[in-house]
Amino acid sequence: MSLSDQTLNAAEREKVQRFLATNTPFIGPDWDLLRDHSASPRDACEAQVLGGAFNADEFDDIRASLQATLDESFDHTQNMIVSPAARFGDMTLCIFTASGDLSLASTRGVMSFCANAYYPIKYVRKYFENDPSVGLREGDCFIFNDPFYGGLHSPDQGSFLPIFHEGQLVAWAGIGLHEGENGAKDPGGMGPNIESPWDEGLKMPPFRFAENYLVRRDIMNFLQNSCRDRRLMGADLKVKLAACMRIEKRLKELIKEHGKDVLVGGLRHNIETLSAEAQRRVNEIPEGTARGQIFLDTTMREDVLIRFHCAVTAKGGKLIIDMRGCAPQFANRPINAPYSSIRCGVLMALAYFIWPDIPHTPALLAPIEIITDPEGLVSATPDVPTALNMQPLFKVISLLHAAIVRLTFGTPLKYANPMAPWFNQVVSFMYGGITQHTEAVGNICGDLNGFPGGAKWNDDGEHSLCPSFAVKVDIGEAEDVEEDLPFVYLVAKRLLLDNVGFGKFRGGGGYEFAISNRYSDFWGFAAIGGGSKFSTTPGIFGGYGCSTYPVCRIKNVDVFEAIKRAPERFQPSMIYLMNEQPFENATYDTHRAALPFEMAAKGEVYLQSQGAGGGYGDVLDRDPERVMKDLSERVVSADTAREIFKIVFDEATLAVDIAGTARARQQERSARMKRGIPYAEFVKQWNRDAPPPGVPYFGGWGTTDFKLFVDGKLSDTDRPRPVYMPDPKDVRIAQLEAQLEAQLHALGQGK
Amino acid sequence: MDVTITEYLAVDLDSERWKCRSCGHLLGSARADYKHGLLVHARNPAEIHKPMLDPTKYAYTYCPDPNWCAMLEFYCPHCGTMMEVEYTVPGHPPICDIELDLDDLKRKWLKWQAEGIDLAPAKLAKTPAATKPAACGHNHGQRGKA
Repeated sequence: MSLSDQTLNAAEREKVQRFLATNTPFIGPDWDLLRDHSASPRDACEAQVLGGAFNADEFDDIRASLQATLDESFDHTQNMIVSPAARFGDMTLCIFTASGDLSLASTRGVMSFCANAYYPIKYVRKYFENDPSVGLREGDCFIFNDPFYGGLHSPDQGSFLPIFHEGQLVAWAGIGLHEGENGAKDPGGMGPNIESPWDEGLKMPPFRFAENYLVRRDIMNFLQNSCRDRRLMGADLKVKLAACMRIEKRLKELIKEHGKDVLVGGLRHNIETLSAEAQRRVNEIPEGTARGQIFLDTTMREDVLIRFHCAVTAKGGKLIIDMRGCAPQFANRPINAPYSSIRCGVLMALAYFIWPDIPHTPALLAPIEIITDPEGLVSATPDVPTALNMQPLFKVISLLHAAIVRLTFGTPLKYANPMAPWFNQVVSFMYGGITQHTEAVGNICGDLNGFPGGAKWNDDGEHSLCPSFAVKVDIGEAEDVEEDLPFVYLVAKRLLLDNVGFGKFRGGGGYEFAISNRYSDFWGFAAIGGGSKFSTTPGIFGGYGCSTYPVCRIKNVDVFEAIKRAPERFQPSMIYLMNEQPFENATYDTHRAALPFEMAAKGEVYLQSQGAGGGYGDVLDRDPERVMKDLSERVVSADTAREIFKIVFDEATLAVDIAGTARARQQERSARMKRGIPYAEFVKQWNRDAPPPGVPYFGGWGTTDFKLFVDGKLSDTDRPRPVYMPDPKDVRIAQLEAQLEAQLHALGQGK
Repeated sequence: MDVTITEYLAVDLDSERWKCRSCGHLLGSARADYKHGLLVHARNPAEIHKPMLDPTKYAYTYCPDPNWCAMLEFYCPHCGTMMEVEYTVPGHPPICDIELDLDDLKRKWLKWQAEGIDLAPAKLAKTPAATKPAACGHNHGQRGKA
């Protein structure tokens, strides 16, 4: 019998309700808050200001001042922060209304850190503000990182501070950034080895870490004790508080200048103005549907094929992003993404690639609807690990970007250059160990930010400019890194030949780099990428995508000693080092781009290359002079110029034979018409009901009516349980045992 | 009237047919997938993304695995222009990547024409000025008016 069935009088019911409200054993994630990105209704003050006569010019002045405040605080914080990633710019500062809706964010940095930050603020207001054991006071500062409470993934941390005026809560200041080390199973807060949410280190729903503008020593001590890098944790708690306090100081100055009510109205006005503008822009998009799919070829521990599918429909003033048909969750792999992470990807695609001209805030999501399977790789549940959920997130950015370009290319109302997708893989090394300064550290290199750009409709893509998830961040200087950390860059930021998305306009090229531990007796590296078997970044409108990218290793060598002995055997080129194998007795191998953390002895070499931005348009339409320029700058090879772009030229002078090139290109067009098969005939031969035998395929198979496959087999349910993958070492042991048994059997000694 | 849809595709709104922007060839009903009117070739990925590392020495070589990754090239049957490249899994049906609502497209296009908007395909819209109208005493129709 439930309580509602019992006969209780009003007083008893009230008593029961009070008991339940104050004795909840555990306040878990609030799913309504997590899914609902709409702004709260106007509060009384906002309604009063915006419902009456207001001065829009004054709101503009306030917005400009707040923007300057956030950007000034960004610079200030960047110079104080210890987190290496935040020093490269992987950080955002922002300001919220009293209800917790983000009003404005810094123009620099990574907006994803604050895209979901409304949620922990609203969570605190809902569950803690009126709880006498917590409460909410001037000078409080909260921290969070859990992706099911408004974080993005576990290495990121956010903080927020309430701003009061004469005892009334009027706003919140916030900061989000990639801290890295958080006590996870592997150094740096994330990595391929993470197999459960409990391997992810600190799991922080929002809680108060500072009171009366002071970091609580006991809390700081606890957090420092929970991770490897105590200096980073301790110092950055203070920096986060200081960043929020600086925003608070400036906001109070604005209250003095304009009055509290005008400021509150201005904060709200930003949200409503941007929501209305986003709505207006969505209304302009011709109705229809654009689709795309991208495949990820790793769980981080084994090669599998994981499908991400996205159908974007403009209809009735809504932009509906339908992610159904993606893969199921993995119970023990870290690439699952909560819904909130996918929403971040949607926001970043819109803000960075579709509407870069207006302030980047979640208000842009007002006309957006996101549909996912109830549970899946892009709608993960808290019982699966999510530390590397940027794998799905980055694919969402590419898919949504390409889909909206397809829907809007021909319209006269668009706000960014149409372009092919930006590179979308994480190419960087994570590291951990004891530095030459005897500090324990764990984090990620700034190469993370070196993604090449997609080709534009009217120009080539940028080489290794910035990541798809942030437009104004840096890749850092090798010299700075080498000062702090015990490894050196043997090859640093050198463009890899022929590593661009070919097209009428080519995607940006990626740089190669090689690092080696020089000074530490206790050091290791990991990598967290994908796309070693399947190209993850497509081109658009006839442009080609990126290649595939492994991690390369040269082990059992001290490269510094080898260079001392025979300097002529070293060249700063990954292709040379791997193909020529110049160091005797060293072990050379390639590994999928996800490399579980492993120890790296002094002088062992780890090499990678950034990928490439997608190409735009038909390679045969590329201006031959652009090809020659690329050739002269060592972006493409002579073979590529001849075989892919069909240029006839003099290799010594790079003079183009214009008539010869026209002939070669016409021959290629004729060859295409000869080898191409009419669509109806082609699909009869090509289409299959299932993935190729032997390919461990996860996700929907089909264009609109999907059949779900799990590990290459047709699923008997639309809602499979999270897939539990066997330990790759057990798989390998079983393979070796089978081989051994077969050999013994052949010798007549089998079981 | 031709309406640009992609770099190489337009729709003739009168005949409701897809059209190649390179040669003007009509490709098929614009109410269906434009790919239906094209030629398709499954390209060996190694021809475009050549192995950079020696395949006799290494498992991963910078070249996609052809057992996992296929490249479908779509050509205009009349002029051979490559209109799209789809990276997919061998045997996976090609994706219909653009599905137009032709009736809405016609409505919008006529509206933009009537409004005198420059319909040149490369044109970017002007970012609207921020909330600049001077103290006008109303809220410009923003959402959530109390």
